[in-house]
Amino acid sequence: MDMHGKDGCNSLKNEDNLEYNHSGNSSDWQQCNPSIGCSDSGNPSATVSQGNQIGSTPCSSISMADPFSAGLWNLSTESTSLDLCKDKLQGSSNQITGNSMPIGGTLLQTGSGVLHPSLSHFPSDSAFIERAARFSCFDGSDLGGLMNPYSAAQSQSPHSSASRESSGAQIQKNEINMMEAVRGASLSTTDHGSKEKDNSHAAGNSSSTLPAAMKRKRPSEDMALDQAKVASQISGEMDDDNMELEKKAEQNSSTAATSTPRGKQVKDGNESSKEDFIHIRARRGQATNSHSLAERVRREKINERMKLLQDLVPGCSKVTGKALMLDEIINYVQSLQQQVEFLSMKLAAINPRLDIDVEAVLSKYLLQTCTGPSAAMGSSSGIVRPPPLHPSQQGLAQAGLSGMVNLPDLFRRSINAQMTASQGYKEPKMQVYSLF
Amino acid sequence: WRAPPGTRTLTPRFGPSKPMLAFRFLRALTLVHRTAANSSNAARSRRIQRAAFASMAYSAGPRRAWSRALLCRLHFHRARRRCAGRRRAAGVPRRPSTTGSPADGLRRLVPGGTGMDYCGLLEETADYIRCLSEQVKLMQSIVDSVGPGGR
Repeated sequence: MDMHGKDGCNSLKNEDNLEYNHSGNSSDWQQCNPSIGCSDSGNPSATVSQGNQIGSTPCSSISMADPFSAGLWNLSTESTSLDLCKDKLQGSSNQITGNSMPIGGTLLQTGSGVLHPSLSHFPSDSAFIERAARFSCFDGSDLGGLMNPYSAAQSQSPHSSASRESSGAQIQKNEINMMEAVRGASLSTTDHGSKEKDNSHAAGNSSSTLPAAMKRKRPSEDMALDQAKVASQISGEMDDDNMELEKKAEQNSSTAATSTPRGKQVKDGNESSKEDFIHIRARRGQATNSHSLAERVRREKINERMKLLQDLVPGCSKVTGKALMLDEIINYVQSLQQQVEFLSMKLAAINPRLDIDVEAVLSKYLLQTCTGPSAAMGSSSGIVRPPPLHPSQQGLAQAGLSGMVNLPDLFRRSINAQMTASQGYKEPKMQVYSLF
Repeated sequence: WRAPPGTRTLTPRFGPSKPMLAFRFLRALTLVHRTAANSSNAARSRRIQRAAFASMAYSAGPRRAWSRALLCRLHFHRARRRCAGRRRAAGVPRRPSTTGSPADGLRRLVPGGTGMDYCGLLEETADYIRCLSEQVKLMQSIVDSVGPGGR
């Protein structure tokens, strides 16, 4: 069958994705923010083995459907955001039962036909399947209406619904590691769901603001974007609704992505294998081979460092562009080094007979960043301090340097010892080193 | 390459230890004043400058590439001066890097910057800038504390 052949090719391509996603998932999701509903590490590994089997038999849609359904239902029951899961589950339900997509329609019909026998061993989900079948006639954009009947059904079987919800969430997260046959068409609909979710949860998990990079606390947006990307790859024709949503996805991803969209098709990217220990989601429209992924990570690291430098160097916030920033930084470092030289000349010119008022220096220097004195008082015993230093004394304690209070004593002692004794240099050093 | 399992989006920046810096530098300063009281101002200022960099490097600790490179350079220069006599290295003709990467200027400035990739260079620069500014503040406060009475 033509579709089967197509499925075969795509499944082969996605085999790597499956392996990658699963292996990535088991470690990745352990560190996920549980509020997003991470799965157990055990479940994805179970699906991994199934996924591998599936990949090897591309033409058997039944085996393809199996892990999908298994993964769908076996995933962890953790999930916090009901709405999130509902949306995703809407998408997943659409996946199962098909939608109005012309290409996906036939696929899904075969998929749904295949799914039913596999679903027989989930008796508790039969009600869900009926509901899903009902939902198939709904347009993807009408997910709001879909949510209500589903929410009514949730009260019936909390556990299974929770598992469904989480599985729906997992589907998003695991990148529907399953058959792209069901996945391909489903992705366009999960695109609906994800976009709905994105739009509704714009305040919370705004995918448009988070760059989809290495393991983040909110991988769901990455999932959504990635699904949208794969959806664009697999489904050649798009409905008008899907076109709108694709544009929306593009806007979302363009705001999220860096300013270098790749010209390569996602299809090519899926063909190359992702390394299994780099947990990065390729963004929409970007190549996903390992080189560009590593490069993208590197670039983001560099951008992050540049931001830090921008904070450090005064007056750098107005400068835009890497070259100008670099020049500013170089100028600043040069000016700092010149300042050190100048100040050392000044210090050399200071009459060495003058005693350096250590306490004053320390108080002034160490409290430079402190704002005001707090109630906490630290007393440096026995040191006579001029009145203006009292607030600085309090500030000393406030700074949280509890050991600091003793330091002026030691400083003074050590330095005086050095200045007076000729041979006693080592001893004060030893004294002070014991403190540190 | 392998990304670290716990992705660090923003590594926590530990600033230079101010007490350590202050202690070391003050001690070195008094040492210089004591031992080189009769040498010229220029020589003393150079010693003080070296002391400043040394205290910076020591207080930053060995976990920073720039501090390690700085200490190596200081020790090497001291050893060279004491043991090998005065031999000036041939001046390398400096060319403004037009063909090189834009980070070359920065590499020359930051100690130990030549052997680093761009990403590490930026991180070292940030730490170096932080330490440098702390050192400048310290020296400035010393100068201020002496007051206008000093020569």
